[in-house]
Parts: sequence; C-alpha cells; structure tokens
Amino acid sequence: MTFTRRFVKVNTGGPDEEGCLLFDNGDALVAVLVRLSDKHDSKYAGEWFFEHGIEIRNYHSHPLFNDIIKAENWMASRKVK
Amino acid sequence: MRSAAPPSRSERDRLVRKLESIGDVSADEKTAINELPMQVRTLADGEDIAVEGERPSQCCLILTGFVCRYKLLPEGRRQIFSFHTPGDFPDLQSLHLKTMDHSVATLAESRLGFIEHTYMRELIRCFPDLGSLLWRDTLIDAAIFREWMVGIGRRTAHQRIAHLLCEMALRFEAVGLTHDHNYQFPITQAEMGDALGLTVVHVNRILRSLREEQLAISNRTSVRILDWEGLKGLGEFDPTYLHQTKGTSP
Repeated sequence: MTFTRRFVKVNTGGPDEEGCLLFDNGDALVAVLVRLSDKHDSKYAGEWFFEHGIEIRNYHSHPLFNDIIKAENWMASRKVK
Repeated sequence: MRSAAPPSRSERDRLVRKLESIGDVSADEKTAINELPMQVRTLADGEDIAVEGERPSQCCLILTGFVCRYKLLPEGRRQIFSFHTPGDFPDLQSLHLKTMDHSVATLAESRLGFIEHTYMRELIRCFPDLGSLLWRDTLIDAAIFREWMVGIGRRTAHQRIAHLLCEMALRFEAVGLTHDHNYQFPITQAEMGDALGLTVVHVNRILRSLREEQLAISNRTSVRILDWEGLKGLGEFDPTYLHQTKGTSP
C-alpha cells in the first residue's frame, strides 16, 4: 500500500503545529501525524506522533516515528481494509 | 522490600483522619486502630505489593508514599484504575475476595503496614461500626471508579486531568497532606496517561496548557493549584461522589 502525503499546519492547542496528512490509494484520509516540538522531552522532540488514525487497528498506542516512511509502513500492516 | 521501624503515631493517624473524613470514629475505635498489629515494610518506587492471581493473607495500609492499582494488557500496555494516598487500604477487598483480580504497586518509595486478615476480622467483630465505616469506604471506592469511568468514556483529555487534580487535592486534604493548595503527587506523565487513557504527548500538552492558563502547575513530584474554581469548572468536578463529610475545598 502506498500513501500520499500532504503537509499542513495543525492546531493542537500548543507549539506542536507541523502536521502531515496521509491519504490511501483511493485518496481517502487515513492518518494525521504531528511533529513534536522542542517543548517535549528530548526523547520525544522532533518525532512524528501518530495523532489520529482512521480505520487503523490498535492505534491506541499512538506510536512515535523518527521518519514518516516508518509510520506508513506501520500503517500498511494495520489498515482494516 | 525491607522491614522497617514501627508506624509512628502520625502515620497511624492518617487512617483515623481518613475514616473521620467519611464518618464518625469513637475514642475506643481510635485506640483499637492505633493498637492494630502490623508489620511495616518499605518498598521502593515501582514495586508490586500484590499481584493479580495471588491470594493475600494480609491487608496493606499505606503509611507514607503513593500506590496504584493496575492491570497489564497484552503488548505490555497498562491501565491504572486508582491512586491511593497514605491512610488508604488499597487491597482491603482481599478480606472478602480471595484471589487478586488486579495488581497493586507503589508509585513512590512507600512505607506500608501489613495487617493479617485475622486481626482485621477481629477488629471488625469487636467494633461493628468500624466495619460499617470500612464498608462505606469501599462503596466510596466504587463511586470513584464510576467517576473515572465517566472521565475515560466521556470527558475530554483536558477535563480528565483537571478532574484528577481536583480529586487528589480533596483526598490528600482528607488525610492532612495538602498545604496552601499544594500536594505531593509523585507520578510521571506516563503514569498519569496510563490512568486516564492518554498518551504521554497529550498529558505533556495539557499540563503545559493548564500552567499557561494559570489553573495548576504540576511537575514530577507535586501539584500546585492556582485557580481552584477554574480547575473545578474545567473538569466539571463535583465532589459529591467522594462523600466527604468534612470540607469541600482544599
């Protein structure tokens, strides 16, 4: 499965503003990733946070990824359809 | 786990104060509580007191420190479903429910008084009103669970955290452990997230916004409430479910 990315600004109510929307092959929105600002601990700052997933199995863990491609691979294995 | 000095008067008084916050305790009952035989042990932060599946023969009274009840899920995820202050018996149910259906652990170094079930039964037999008060305490425990269920199921992340900070303020107040709207709350953001069904990232964002909105300041060890009414309003906090008969604000 391949994903299309669209970089957007996200209102999280704080300094985490850099976001990336991921769309599936049918151009449907499947996930919102947000890059964590330096207001977080150093082990989190700069990571892509899995803010929200649509029809993704077991995303309650909201994992962190250091690269969007890793988020896409993770999603590909968990997409419901 | 190591054996430690016997409980001081003020440590035992936490239990009396806690019970007095929800009902009346007679002079004889106070004496009986203060004479309860217990073996004191000190546990480090993050040690299990009782584990799911065990069949304890003792109840554990928290003398100092901080304790939670939790359950581990597959993949190592954890749900914390209650926090306990000094003066609490986090595993009182083991008197009547033989097998632990969840685990109990420290969230800070804690001094714990272990009391044999036989002594607890004897206390309740000799002082039935005290038995009723402990029953009342377990009913309040259930009321707290109901409130947490509403929080996890229906409240926003901001409301959950605001509600928790208000609840803990009143529970620490009941055992004399708040000072000028401050209390020791030695939990990590991950532990708060495990209790409220939130990620560390969300907890971090919300604690920062509570600080920026001048509602409460929280760090790894303590909480300082700056605007009690504001925090209460945000969390839709109504203290009725704590059934405290004395005092309704810290």
